[in-house]
Amino acid sequence: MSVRRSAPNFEAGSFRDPDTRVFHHNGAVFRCLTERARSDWMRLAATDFYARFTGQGRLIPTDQVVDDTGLPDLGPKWTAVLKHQRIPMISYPYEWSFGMLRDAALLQLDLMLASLDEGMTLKDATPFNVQWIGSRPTFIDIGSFTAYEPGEPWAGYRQFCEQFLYPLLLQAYRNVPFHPWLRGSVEGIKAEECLALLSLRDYVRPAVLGDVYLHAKAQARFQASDRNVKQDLRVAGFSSQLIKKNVGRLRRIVERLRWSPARSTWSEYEHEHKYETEDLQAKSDFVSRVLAPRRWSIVWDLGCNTGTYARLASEHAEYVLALDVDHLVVDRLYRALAQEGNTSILPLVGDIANPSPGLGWRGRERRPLVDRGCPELILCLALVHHLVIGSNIPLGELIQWLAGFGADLVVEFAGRGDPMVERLLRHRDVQHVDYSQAAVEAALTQHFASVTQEPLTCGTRTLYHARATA
Amino acid sequence: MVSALLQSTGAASCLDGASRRQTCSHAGHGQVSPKSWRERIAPRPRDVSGHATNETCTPVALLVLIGVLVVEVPVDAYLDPGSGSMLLQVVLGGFAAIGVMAKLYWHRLTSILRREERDRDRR
Repeated sequence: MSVRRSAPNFEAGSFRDPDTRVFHHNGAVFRCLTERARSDWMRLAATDFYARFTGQGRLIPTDQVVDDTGLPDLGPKWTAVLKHQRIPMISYPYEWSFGMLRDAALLQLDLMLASLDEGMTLKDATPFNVQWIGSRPTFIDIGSFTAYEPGEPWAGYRQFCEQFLYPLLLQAYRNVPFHPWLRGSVEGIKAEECLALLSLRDYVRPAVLGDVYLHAKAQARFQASDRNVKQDLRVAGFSSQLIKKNVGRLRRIVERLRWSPARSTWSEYEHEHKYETEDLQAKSDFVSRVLAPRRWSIVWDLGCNTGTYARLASEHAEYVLALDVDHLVVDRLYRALAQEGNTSILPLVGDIANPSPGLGWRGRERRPLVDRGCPELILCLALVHHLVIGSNIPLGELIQWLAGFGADLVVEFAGRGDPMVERLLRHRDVQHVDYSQAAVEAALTQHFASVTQEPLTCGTRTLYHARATA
Repeated sequence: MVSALLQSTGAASCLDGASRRQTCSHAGHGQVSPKSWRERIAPRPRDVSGHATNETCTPVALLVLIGVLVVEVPVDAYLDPGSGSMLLQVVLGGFAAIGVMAKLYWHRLTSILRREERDRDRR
C-alpha cells in the first residue's frame, strides 16, 4: 500500500529565484533544486572555495539528500534536495549594526571573488542571503551560485549598491541610520535617493562619484532603453576580469568604512548609571540563580546594553539574542563579540515598542521578530519603565505580551522614587497612575505560574523571576 | 530560511525570458535615421517628451551601445541587473575596461557604417 506524502511547507521568503525553494520538514531546513540548479550545485560542491568557506563557517554546511523517503511530495519540477544546517535565529539587515552589515558585505564580495576564480558567480547580492551564528556571518543561499557565462556582467552589482553599499555610506558619511529605511524598503536604497542626502564634500569620498553619482545618472539615462545591454557587453568582450576589478575595488572601499560616533543615548550607561556596587552584584547573583539550575536553549536579553547579562546567560544557554534599541551599543557589542569569535550571542538592533513586523510579499516574506525565535527565558532588566513611561505602553499589556512567549521571565522593576523613573516622569502631565509595584506583581501573578522576588538595597528596584505556566 | 531577494523587474525578466531572444534581424535595426555621426555615437540627453535637452553629457551618457546583435542569447538571469548598472561596470573597471570600452565604440561605429552601406545599396 502506498503512503500519501504531504505537501511541502515552503518558506514564504524563498520564492524569488525560480530554480530553488526552501522548505521546512520536521524542524529541519531543506532546499529543493531544479535540474539547472542541481547542475550548479554539483559544480559548486566540487570547488575548492566551497570546502574552504564551509570549513571556516562562512558558508552554511549543506548535504545532498540521497534518500528522500519521508520527505514531502515535491513534484517533477524539483530534481534534487539539499539539507542545510539550521540557523539558530533568522535576522534581517534592518536589525543589524553597521559593523554587521559591513562584515556581511565583505563576505558577499569575498564569495564573489572566490567563485569567479573557479568559474562560478553569484546570481544576486542581497544581505538577506547572509545570516549570523552569533557574531559570525554565514552565507545561506547555496542556490545563488551558478556557472559563470563568459561575457556576463555582474548581475548583482546594482543590488549590492542598493542593499549593502548605500546604507553603509549613508551611515558612515552622513550618520543617517539605515534601519528604518531598509525596514521601509526591503529592496534597499536607490542611487538617486542616496545621492540626495550626500553633500558636495562627500563627492570626494570613496564610492560617491562612481558608485552613487554616476550610477544614478546611468540608471536615469538608460532606464527607458530597449537595447539588450547584456548582449552588447558580451560582444564587446566583457570578462570576469572586469568583475573582479570592480569587486576588489568595492571590497577595499567597504573595508575602510567606519562609523564610530563618540556617544549615543545609552552608550555610556555602564559608567553613568546610579547602581551601588552591592546592588549590581545582587542583580548579577539573582540572574545567575535563575540561569544556573538548567541548560536553556534560547535566552532573549531585551535592552542588553553592553551585553553583561547576555554573556552571563550564554554560560547556561545554547544561544542568546542580545537586543537593544541603541545602535551604537549594539555595534560596540558586536565588535567585541566578533573579536572574541563568539558564536553563541547574536546582537541585534531592535525596539520592543516597535518590533520588526512581517514585510514583503503577503507580509510574510520577512517574518516578524516575535515569530523568529522561541525563547525559554527572557531577561527584561531595567527596561519596563522605559517602555511603560517612555513609550506609554500599558504595564498590563506589556507583561501579557511577554508572557505570550511561554518563557520564564526575569524583570527588574524600578518603582516611583527611582532617579530614572523620576527623570522619565518629570515633563509628563500623564502621571501613569497604573505604574506601581502592586500593578506589576498583579500582572505577573495573573500571567505566570509562580513569581519570586528580591528587592535591591537601593529601595526603589525589585527583581522578579516569573515562571511560565506549563 | 530566507532566500534570494531581487528587484520586481527581475521576476518579470525570468518570466518572459524566452520571448526576449534577440537577433540581428530584430525589427528596427535595419532602419537608418537622419542623425549625425556624433549623435549616433553619443545622442544628446532627452527630456520626457523626447526632445533633446541642453544638459551636458555625463561620461556615462557617452557610452552608447553597439548596434549589431549577432549572437542569439537567452536572457535567463532571474535578477535584472539594470542597463545603467551594467554599463557602469565598464566605466568603473579602470584600465581593465579600456579594451571593452573601445570595442563598444568600434562596434557601434561599424554597425552604423554597415547600415549606411546597406541603405545606399537599396537605393
